[in-house]
Amino acid sequence: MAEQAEDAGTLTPSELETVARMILGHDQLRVLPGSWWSYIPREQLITYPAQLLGEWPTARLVGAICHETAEARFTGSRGSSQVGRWLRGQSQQGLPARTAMLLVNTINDMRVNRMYLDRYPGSRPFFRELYRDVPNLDPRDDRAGDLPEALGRLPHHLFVNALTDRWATENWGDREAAEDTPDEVRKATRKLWSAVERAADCDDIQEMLDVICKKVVPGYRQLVEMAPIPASDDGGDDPELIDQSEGTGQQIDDSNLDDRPDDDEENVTGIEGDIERARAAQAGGRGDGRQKAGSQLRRFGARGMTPGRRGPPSAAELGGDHWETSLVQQMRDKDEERIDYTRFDYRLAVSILDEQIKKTIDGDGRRPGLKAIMDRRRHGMNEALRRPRKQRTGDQGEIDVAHPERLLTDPVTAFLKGVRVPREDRQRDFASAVLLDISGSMVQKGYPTRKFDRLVETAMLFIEIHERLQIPFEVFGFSSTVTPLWSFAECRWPRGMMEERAYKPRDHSEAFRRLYELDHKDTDDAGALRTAIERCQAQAGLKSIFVITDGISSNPSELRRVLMDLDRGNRGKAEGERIKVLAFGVGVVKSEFQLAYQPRQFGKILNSCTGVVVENMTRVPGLVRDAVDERIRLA
Amino acid sequence: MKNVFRNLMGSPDDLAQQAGEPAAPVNAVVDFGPEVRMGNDWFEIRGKRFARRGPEPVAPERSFLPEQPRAAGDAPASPPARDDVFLHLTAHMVDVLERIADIDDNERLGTFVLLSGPTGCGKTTLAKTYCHISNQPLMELNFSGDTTLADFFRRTEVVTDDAGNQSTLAGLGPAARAMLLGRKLIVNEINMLPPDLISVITHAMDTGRLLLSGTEYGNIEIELHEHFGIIATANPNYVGTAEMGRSLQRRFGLGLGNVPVAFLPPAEETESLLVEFARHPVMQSLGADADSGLGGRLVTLADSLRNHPDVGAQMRDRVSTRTLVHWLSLGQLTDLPLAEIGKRAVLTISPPAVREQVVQIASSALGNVRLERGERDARELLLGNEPPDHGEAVVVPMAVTPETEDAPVDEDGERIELPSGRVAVLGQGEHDTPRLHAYDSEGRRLADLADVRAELRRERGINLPMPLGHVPGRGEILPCLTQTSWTTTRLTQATLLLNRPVFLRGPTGTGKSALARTVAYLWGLPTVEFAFTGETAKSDLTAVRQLSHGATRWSLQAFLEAVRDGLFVIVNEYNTAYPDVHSIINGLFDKAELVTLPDGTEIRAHPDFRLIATGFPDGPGVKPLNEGVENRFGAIVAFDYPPHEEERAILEFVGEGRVSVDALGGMAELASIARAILGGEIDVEFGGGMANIAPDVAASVAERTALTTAEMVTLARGARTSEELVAWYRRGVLEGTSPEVARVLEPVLANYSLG
Repeated sequence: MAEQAEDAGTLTPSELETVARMILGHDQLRVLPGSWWSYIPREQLITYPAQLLGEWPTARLVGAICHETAEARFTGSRGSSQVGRWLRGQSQQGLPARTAMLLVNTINDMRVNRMYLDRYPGSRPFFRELYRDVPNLDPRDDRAGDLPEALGRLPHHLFVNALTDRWATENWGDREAAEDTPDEVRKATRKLWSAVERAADCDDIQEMLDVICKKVVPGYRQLVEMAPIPASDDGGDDPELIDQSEGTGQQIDDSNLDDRPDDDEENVTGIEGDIERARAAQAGGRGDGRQKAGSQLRRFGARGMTPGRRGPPSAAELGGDHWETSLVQQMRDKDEERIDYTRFDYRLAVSILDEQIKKTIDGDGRRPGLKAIMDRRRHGMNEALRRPRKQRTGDQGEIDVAHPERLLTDPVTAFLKGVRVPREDRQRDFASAVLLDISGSMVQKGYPTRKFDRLVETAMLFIEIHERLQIPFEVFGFSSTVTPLWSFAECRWPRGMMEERAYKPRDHSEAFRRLYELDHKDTDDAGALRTAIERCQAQAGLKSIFVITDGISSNPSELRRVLMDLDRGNRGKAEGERIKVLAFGVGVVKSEFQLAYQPRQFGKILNSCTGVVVENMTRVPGLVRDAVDERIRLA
Repeated sequence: MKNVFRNLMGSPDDLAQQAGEPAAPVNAVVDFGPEVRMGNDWFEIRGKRFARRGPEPVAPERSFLPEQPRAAGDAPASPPARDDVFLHLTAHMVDVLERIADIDDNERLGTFVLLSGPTGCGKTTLAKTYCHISNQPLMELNFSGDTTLADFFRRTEVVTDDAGNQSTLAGLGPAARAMLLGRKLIVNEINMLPPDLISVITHAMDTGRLLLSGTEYGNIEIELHEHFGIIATANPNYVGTAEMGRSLQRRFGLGLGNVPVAFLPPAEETESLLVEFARHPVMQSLGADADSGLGGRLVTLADSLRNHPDVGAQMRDRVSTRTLVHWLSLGQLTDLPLAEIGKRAVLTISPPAVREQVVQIASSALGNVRLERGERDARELLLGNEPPDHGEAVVVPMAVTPETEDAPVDEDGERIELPSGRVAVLGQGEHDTPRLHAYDSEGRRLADLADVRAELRRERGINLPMPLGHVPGRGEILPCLTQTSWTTTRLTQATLLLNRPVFLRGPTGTGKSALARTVAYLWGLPTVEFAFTGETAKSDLTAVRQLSHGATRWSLQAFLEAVRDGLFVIVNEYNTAYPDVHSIINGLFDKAELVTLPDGTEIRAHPDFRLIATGFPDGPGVKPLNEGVENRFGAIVAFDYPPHEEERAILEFVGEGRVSVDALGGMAELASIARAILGGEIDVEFGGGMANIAPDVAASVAERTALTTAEMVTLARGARTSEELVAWYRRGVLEGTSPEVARVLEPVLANYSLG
């Protein structure tokens, strides 16, 4: 496999992180790009140098992941604390903590690698590849700050490197010596090796520390004393270092490494930098939607938050008849009048709207959600959970009383012809287009965006419904021009098996940022409808077009014409093949909206279109459910 | 007695003695609690006396009824037996009973009663209790969504006269017979009946007459019998039910026959729970008597769950009095703490979203409490109480050898000499099924005929049909037992001893069916296995009409035959059938344990009949279980993939040292990780949201490696060497993957010794 891995080139960050996830298994650790390989117990984090992915072969990358996993699994937070205490003890006895840590890290690496290899012998080729070069790339040093090469390596540095070399050579044999080793170091290595082996053979970390203390430290101390580190250079009894020893508890995460790629973000390097970046990732990531939303809200200083509460207020708590109490609005900065849509975070907004979305999809306990409503259609009946009744006489051997002679002449036909046929009104699929009105009456850049906020909230609900129910959909923004934002072709979902709780919203932030950035001029709703109708025609299933608008059309007569054309076209089609427009009015002038989206012909409302005014976000789930239910029932 | 159930409870005669209370002596007055008494020809409710109905008259009065091709339903019917009813009525039960009695006693009102309320609160049994006390014969109906009028009201039959001439005839179903013969019609879950068929009942209720066409008297009209009445039950808004409709509801009369039934208040529920527990034949045979304090704790817990602000809405219709009886009884039989039983087998009925919270509430309420042993111990009938250690797999214990009765041998059958020297004799069994017996080369009769049947197939091309039921062999059961499967098996056995069905709920390939067969194997029970589908209909579970010798007759389907003959029934994929279809057999799991056929024949479950259903709520084609159906299971045992240490032990057991333990362990660990990712237990984005993982790649990698236990057992069992195992595994996992998924999988597989 190592050979295969070597031949397989390198891994992308996505692939490496997936490999790491599969290797870490049930360990609750995150893996994020950082400046170098490190395991940071207090952050439950492993970092990797993303910059090296293109250079390191797969086997070496996997070896490093295996090593960090071993560190996490067999040292972990508890082991790090034990090491911390041990370092304090050594420091009190005159061995600087950094210097002692150099030794203990080296031996502990052998210990955890051994334990990992015992449990996962298949990882051997990866370790071999890792230890072929990395110790040379990452020589150990316990001096503080960036030191010039000319200062050279001290005897105890060479000693710990020699230990690693020897461990690697004993395991794989075919590697080259890292560097020329002075005699005294070679002698010390030879003399102390059996003790080092004994220490590395201990499964328990405290046992290992005891062996090191008794059998290795005296010899090591001699090497240290041969070339003591000036007081200004050593780490001294840095209590933070001791307390956080877990943070530097690996051979390959030395923060003083010279040839490590520069960190180009925030000018923070080393492990602290990794921690910072990880924290930033945690704050900006998704994780627990409610908690994160809460933290985000606190940062934004949201209105309506009760001190001490853990999540955003629910819609019910916010209450009221006015849209001003909506949920996305919580994203607004306390000091600002509007949401900054140029930095719109769709996933965060979804987490805030989660309750509404779930109510729409799963129902509210009193009324069924879209899942059940649409299932009715899928099963071809209004009672999805009741077995369809027979469709024709004879299915179950009933006697045809109108033709009893059939029974007499051909009992086989009478009794065995019952191959059940699917119901004709059965409908397998759905397809929808969502049209978003971004005309000048809905949004003006640089000004408060109340109508646009409502549009965004409603649009998000529609998008999430389609994503979660895996219904193909398109999204268009329309003003003077029609702009496709999401197409049927992009509607691809992971195949089956993912459970609901594993659902992660797809990030549609860019679509909303674009919506805001586009020109906001006239309302070519007619053009948008024509485009949507044309594109929906090719889709299978029950086709619906959802329009979210304030109803102020630039050309009402053209809109009316499109709707009448649609109505006429629908007449020649089977019910299930008809396209229907469902308009949701946000921030509307009711009369204008009704005129536009509930047009009449010969005194009758057109069947091709229905409109409903949305007065409050909290009402949207119910309105959507009802609209879709009616659409299905009447189709 | 040939099987384990009677080892516990004795012979059928003993059973009759033990079941319920001894029959009341003639002229004795029987109390049903402090407020209800019953004499020979009267009964009293709270001091108000009513007349009991006398015995049904026999022919000739009925000779004027339309001729019926089958007369099964014409036999004089009896009121429900004491075993089928409540023997101790609490105040709230008496309220309901009194209301029914008042309506039935009022000559100006028809007896049309609708008891609506949550499942398991005793609606059907209360209806039967009334019929028992008032001595009313009854016909009981269960409906499903595919019920037709022919199933319960009217149908056309073909009859053949002595001269061989055939003609069609209108046949009356049980509902019409009840109307004409003056029986009470107990309609369980009336809202399962398709709403457009209900009018046939409401019409008769309104007019008091029945219109029949095509009888030998021509088209006729008959008045409904004065004693006819309907006592229906309904669980409104349950899965699979239809909307009741105002037109049906109003006919029962608001304030009259429309009777809401709720769970009893805690004190009464405790009383009822203890009585029902103590009267169960198994508990009687064990001499077990539940502690009233313990019963009270369970009832208090149930009450708090039903009214809990967070979980109450979901639990209200799921924790019934019936559930509590099961819970307490399982505690008696298994000696496990009640909280653990709740977690593993009872509170598993709660929806996944609230399950953890519900289990937590139960654990806090019950602590580590368990029931005291009774005078006798049933535990010798179960697997021992010392399961293997975690991560250990042990061989399945030897089976109980069933006591076989030597069937009479038909020596006149066809003799076939086989190349092995054995002699097979083919005789005739019931329904002309070939009956096989065989002798070895020395003339000794063979007990195990599997080899003989195989030789007949191989050498003579004869594949013999057999009657239903065979005891599973070693090859059909779990390969070994681990701590988890051991405990699950014990719980399953205990539930079956209580004569309750068991639902093993778990994902595919976890070994649910194999565990069910293991129980049958351990007890040596002849077993028949079914698989339900979306096409499974009422007729598959009951009976169908067949044309036989020129006339139609009802023929029991295999399922009902197994019920009647006392086989051990395993139903796989139980919840792929529609929820309303299951309800047709609800009657089998009520006290009376019977199903009524469209011709009125009542099929009672044999005392040895037991049922284990398997299924999983997620996946294509599955449906949720109706709450009433779900509630009738004595245990819904949660059955997941074993922890990976156990899975590894199973694979090592199956691998028998032929294949590398590292590779087997790797397969198990990888599968466990992949399942956790697919199940959302491991966040592929590491909870940070900044990870670079592409969800579709992670999902593909996880899907590829999330093998089921069954798949891995097959690989481990089939592989002759480690290389072969790894090659098969890699082929299965890597075949057809995209390059990027393969790039991830290769090092991962290698890490787990599968490279």
